[in-house]
Amino acid sequence: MAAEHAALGVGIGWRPEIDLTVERLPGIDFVEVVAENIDPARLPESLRVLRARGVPVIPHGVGLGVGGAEPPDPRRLAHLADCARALEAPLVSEHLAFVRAGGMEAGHLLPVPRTRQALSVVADNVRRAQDALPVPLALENVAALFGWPEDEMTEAAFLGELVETTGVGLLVDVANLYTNQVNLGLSATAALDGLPLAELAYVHVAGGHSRDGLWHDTHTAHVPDEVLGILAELCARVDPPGVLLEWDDDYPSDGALEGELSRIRGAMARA
Amino acid sequence: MSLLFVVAVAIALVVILTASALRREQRRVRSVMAGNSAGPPTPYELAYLSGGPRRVINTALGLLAKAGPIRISRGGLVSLVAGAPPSPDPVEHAVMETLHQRGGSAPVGDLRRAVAEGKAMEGLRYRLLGLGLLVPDSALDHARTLLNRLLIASVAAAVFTVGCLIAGPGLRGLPTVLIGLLATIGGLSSYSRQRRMLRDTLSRSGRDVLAAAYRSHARGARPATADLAFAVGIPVALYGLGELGEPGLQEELQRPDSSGSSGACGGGSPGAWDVNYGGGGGDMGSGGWGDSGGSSGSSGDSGGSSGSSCGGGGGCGGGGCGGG
Repeated sequence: MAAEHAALGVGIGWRPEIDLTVERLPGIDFVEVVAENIDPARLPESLRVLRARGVPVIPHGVGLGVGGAEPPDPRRLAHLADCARALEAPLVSEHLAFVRAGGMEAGHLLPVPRTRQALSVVADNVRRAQDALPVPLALENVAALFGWPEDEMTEAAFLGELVETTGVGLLVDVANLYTNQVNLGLSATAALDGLPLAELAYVHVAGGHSRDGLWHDTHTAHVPDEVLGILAELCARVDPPGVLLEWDDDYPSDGALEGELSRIRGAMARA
Repeated sequence: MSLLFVVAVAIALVVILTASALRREQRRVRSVMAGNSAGPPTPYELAYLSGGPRRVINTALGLLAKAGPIRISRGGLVSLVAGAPPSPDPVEHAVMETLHQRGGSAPVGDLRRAVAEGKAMEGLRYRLLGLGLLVPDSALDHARTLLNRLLIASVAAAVFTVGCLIAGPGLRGLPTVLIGLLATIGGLSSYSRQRRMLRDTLSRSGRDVLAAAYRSHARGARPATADLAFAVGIPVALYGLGELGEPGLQEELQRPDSSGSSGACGGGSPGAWDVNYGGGGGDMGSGGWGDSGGSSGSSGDSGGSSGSSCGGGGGCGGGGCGGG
């Protein structure tokens, strides 16, 4: 149920390069930190400052690989759990993706084959993760440059069944929906219609670059109006507990980041 | 009149004459004619006069961080902001270019060293020399020789006095001991003052310009203007990073440099003037032109002044330029 997810507000991805900026930006209700980049025993000073102010910090994993055929690595799960405890996080988020197989790292968040068989394996992985974590888990839809030929379900249907089976929360990345719309022709609106938005934990928004007709979700640029349009559509369907701006490199000025957050608030208000 | 008394008087005369010659030499060297400047001093000119290269770089970092082209993060990492336009100012350009050459970011200590040793800083120093606000370092060589002589004479006076006391000259030898003692105390005191003054290369005009700037811009005043050079640049140039008005930025820019190298900020201490306008504090440098903040320039005689506003040792002190 949506009511089970903590109200977060509008936030930004915390990165060490912009730590003071994040601390200074007005109206930051929560932040998210890449879990693999921190040591829960020695949290960055900036995160401690934010926590002391009462700002929720969500550990966001990128390497758990719940979409893989193998069970999630217990050490990675323990790290996520330690991060959640150290940060007193209301939840932990990860990607619905597979990132390694047979000891080989993909170095990318690859889409899961959306088959019944895969769903069963992923659901089992999610349950293992939930058992190991002290707080709820939310899974994020990924951006894909390809789809598996054996796909039997849409991403929305796959996520819907996964949520229903496991009770996992949903982290909807509207920039990823846009990416899939541009690159794979998958309608973002249709995805929103199919996603179990009642289980929405929060939303990701980001910018990217178009190159050779493909959209690259780089998190290094101004959020395009089309992505904000998808956010507005999402907000018309459900009141999201939180919306977070991701920016991972080529950081613009504090003023520019503040402007992007204002645009996000504007899109939310349009709904 | 005993021989010891004659020797005491002779040593005292050497101390007095050497100290006097040193004061005259400092006055002579620093009384260069001021050149024609196109306008009021820039923040970076004032920063160099006030705190040397380190203060210049801190002023640039403060201004650029406030204006937006660079970002300071915890741990003292300085990064270029994406899309920031190049600055027409040579010092600011040097900061941004150094960051660009290092992939967009650098620890603040490394950045300070690179800019302090770069052409922009050299250009600024030559401009101040051309304006007659600084004197060439080599112009003070004779004064340094006199300073060494003063130390030798003072030490000789001390040895002589101690020798007399050990020998137990009695009441008749008291004047000899008193003269030796006065020569020792006066010589070492003068040596200490003059040595402090020799750490900077400001001319009398330079001190006048600096003193005028301190009078015009009070510490702690926050000019209500959008002109960052005026609102941020000049206060930081004169008083150090404490005038940034952002404790977070100030703290990160003052973090000690962990690389441990030294000497990149060059120069000596500017703080030997008669009046301490700044009251110390500022950028927490560890002495010398380490941006220790708040030194001032009165227009007073360069000789015989007392009181230091910076104190400390020359150069950048420990940890290269990273101390503040």
